[in-house]
Amino acid sequence: MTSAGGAPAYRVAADPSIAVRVANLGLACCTLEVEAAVRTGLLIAEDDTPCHRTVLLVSGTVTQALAPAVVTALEDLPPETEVVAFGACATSGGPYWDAPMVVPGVDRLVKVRSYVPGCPPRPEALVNALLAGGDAA
Amino acid sequence: MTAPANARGVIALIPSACTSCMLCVRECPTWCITLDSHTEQVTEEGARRPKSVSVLDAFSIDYGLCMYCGICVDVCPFEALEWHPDHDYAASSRAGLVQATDQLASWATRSSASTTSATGSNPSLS
Amino acid sequence: MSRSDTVTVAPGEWAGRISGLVGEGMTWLDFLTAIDRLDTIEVVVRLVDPASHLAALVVTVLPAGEPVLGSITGLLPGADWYERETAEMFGVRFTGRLDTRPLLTRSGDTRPPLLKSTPLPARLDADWPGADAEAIGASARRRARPPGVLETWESS
Repeated sequence: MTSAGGAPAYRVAADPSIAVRVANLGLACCTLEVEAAVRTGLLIAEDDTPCHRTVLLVSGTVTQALAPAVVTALEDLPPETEVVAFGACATSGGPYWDAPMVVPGVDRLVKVRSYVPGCPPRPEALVNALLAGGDAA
Repeated sequence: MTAPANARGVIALIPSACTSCMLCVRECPTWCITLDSHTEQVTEEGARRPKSVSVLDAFSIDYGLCMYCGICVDVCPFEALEWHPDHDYAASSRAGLVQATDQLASWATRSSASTTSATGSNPSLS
Repeated sequence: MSRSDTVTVAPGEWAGRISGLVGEGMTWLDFLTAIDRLDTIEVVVRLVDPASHLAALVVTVLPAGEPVLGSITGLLPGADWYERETAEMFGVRFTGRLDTRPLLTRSGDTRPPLLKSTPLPARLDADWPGADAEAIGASARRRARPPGVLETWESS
């Protein structure tokens, strides 16, 4: 989770001219791939790097219990923050689309800029989504 | 950024191998596959009577729902579905994750991983 | 006791048997959950001895109509969330505990979601793509059931 207004900055190893602030909501298994992207050096943490973009990365299943926290997390970030739905659960509820306690897609709560398919997506898919700037591949 | 050749990146369709049996549609746990087809009567040269053939009209996979379990690939009796390692197909809308016949077929020829089960003519890259 | 024994006890002996196993060294709570057997609901707990890695699965059988069982949070505080989840998902009522808040659900009018008799409205409302019987080759003789739709659901 991120404190108000601050999200860690990451430089993209594949294109070092690109740095993005990423606030990761690690809700379920998809967040392990986000961690893998950092630990394998696809994304390099660089706190002082100025960034033009801030991304709220929703990585995992959104339950009813946590839905208000997702909305609050976005409210705590700058207004231009883009939401990226990372993985099937954040996109549509994934395999749990039928579960009463699951929100079938984080776009039921907030506006989503980019949907990354996968269960889970590869760490490379996260980098691709950040490189694409939210546009469809 | 390349994934291993056997990575479960995307599922490709070989339309010429599909008989519209709908096994994949029925077995998918997340209900993310749809298929439309119709039958036609075809009389071949020299045949006594016409036979029914299925014509695939539309096939789609909603990758927003897909959990990449591979049951559809495993259950297809005609090997009309196969894994490919490509994973770069994020979209800016939910609808953009629903891939129809042509897009599903194009993965089979675009990927660098070679496949041995494809039969018939391959669609050209769009 | 050999590795990973299963012990079935009456509901009245639940806390006592667990207390005994904890006293013998099985101090690590692995999980507590329930199994819906339709006429009955089984509550199971797995305990592990961290030193020897011996494990025990303790099972008790409750009537489906009145699944009531004593809480073991006084003995194993780690059972708290498991009991909340089991109560929420299976409708088991644990006595002797104060916190009855649900863990994951927020709409309070749903039946316990993991009971086999509880239908999932989303699966009933959605159109199953496999229902199309027009496709050639689709066996009309075998009535296909949509994955995720159980025959034990009360309503159709």
